[in-house]
Amino acid sequence: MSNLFYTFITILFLIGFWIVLSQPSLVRKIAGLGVMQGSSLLMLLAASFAKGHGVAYPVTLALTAIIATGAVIALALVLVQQLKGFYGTSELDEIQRLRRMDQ
Amino acid sequence: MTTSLILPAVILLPFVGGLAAFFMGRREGWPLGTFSLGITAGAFVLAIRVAGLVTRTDALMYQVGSIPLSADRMTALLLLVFSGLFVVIMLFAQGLIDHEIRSKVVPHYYGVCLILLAALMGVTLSQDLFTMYLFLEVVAVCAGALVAAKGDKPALEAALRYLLMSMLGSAMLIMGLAGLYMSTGSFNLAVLAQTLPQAVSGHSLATMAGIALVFVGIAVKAALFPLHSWLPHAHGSAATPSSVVISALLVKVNIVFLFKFMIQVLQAGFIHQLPLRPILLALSVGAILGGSLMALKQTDIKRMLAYSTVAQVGYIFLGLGIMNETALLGTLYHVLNHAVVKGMLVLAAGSIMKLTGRRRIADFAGVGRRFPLPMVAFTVGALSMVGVPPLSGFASKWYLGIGALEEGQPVFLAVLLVSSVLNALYYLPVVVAAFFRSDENIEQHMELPLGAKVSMVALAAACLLLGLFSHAAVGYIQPAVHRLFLGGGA
Repeated sequence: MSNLFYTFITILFLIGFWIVLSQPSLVRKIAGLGVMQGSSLLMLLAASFAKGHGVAYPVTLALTAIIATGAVIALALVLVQQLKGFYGTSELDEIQRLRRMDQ
Repeated sequence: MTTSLILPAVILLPFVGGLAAFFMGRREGWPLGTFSLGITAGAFVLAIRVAGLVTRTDALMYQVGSIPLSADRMTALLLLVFSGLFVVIMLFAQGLIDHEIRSKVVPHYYGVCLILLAALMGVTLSQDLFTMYLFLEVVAVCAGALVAAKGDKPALEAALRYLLMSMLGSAMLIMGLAGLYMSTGSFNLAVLAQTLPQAVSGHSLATMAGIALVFVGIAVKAALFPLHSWLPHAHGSAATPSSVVISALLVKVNIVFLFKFMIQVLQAGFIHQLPLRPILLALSVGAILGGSLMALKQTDIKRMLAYSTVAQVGYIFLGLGIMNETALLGTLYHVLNHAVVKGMLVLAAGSIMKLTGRRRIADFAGVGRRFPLPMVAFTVGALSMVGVPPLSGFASKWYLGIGALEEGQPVFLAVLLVSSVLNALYYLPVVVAAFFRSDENIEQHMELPLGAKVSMVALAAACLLLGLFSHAAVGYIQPAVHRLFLGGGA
């Protein structure tokens, strides 16, 4: 049973990674990173649950980590918004092209 | 082992100071700069006190809830360098930060700097992998904000690039930690050290994948060679004090994480069973040579310094790959050295950029005659990077080289020598052109504030002292590394 969990979570992690690599939009990249971090925390909970340690301790850890990663994601999204204000697009390749033209 | 309240105080003082700067800083007439300088100076004094205490008792500890904090001679020296460098950064920022970022965000800038210092202290002191990770995340938010503070297009893009890479590294790091938790049921460094070797036989996949993911995650965050692309961007477009934080501290704190993970959790005996060392050695040689060659190609002074940092990260990983006591001492000493020396180089280059409005290397001709102080500081840093005795760079290369020879691998000594030559090739032309060519058209845009002058002199002195007294400093940390390296306080 627990192996099924681990396989599922690993697939989720890889989906997140694929989103980060394949999507040109910065917002989607950030969402992909969110999926990766979420699945990592899920793995922590699943591991603790399967080992019979109970989930109280890892839940507190996961909550703290969610707050920390939430702060990073919020900052990243603010930056995307500002860049969109400058360049009118939120795609990394496009921003890079426009910046080269600026110079 | 002595319990001492000073450990949480070292973390809390800059944290509370940072919050105060955040909320009080906007009030008219509030002495924001002086206050921030005072807080960092207070943290530095506490770090000196910690260093004094651990000289007598070997280790201090304090339990906060379920999180153990502990300091030994090694961590004490790291605390000293982190807080000392922040004092210098704050001194430099006093007169200059208003010229680099919008005045509206200056209180936030100081606040974020202080919270970053608290998080650096937290990573260094805590003895729990998950807590260390959480502090790293705080470091990432603060560093992203410091890069973005300049508010122009390149700075925002660079901050975003950094944050994306850091998040990628964090995701891998948490996954790795989950793998380790699966096989051991704990994040405590000492418990992990005892249970991991047995766990490998039971949950070999989870443990091995966990260790590998921790390494990859940290390699991304520490800008180890093929994953370094964010560093030159962030470094090149941030305000000068932020560049110091990135080059000298942000990269280093991740290395401190890895260093603690390697010598306190994995320990020497276990590392030799893993296929880690060849990978680390190959990547570090790639970083040293690749970073130096890229630095040689740069035309912008700040990007050149950033690629030099990529190469220096390679030195640090080289010592971790060689993995004997001498090389580890060299690595740790290089962490301290590079923080001081690169800090000085960035401050000197930043001052010249502010004074003259020039940032292309080709335009540095003659600036040394016109503005001797920053350029002399730059020269001291450049010579230290090349490894000229008695400056500090020589000492860490010396220990790394001896470590390579002890391991019977003189090829790495050759890499160190080649890289010294490369360092000379990209640093010395700047120095020579600055002093021996002349340019009548240099304009002076502003006066260099006293704080900036004092900060450069202080770092130059630190560089010379770290070089002259390297033997004493390495001797001071040697017992701590020896005890950790041989395993579990034995």
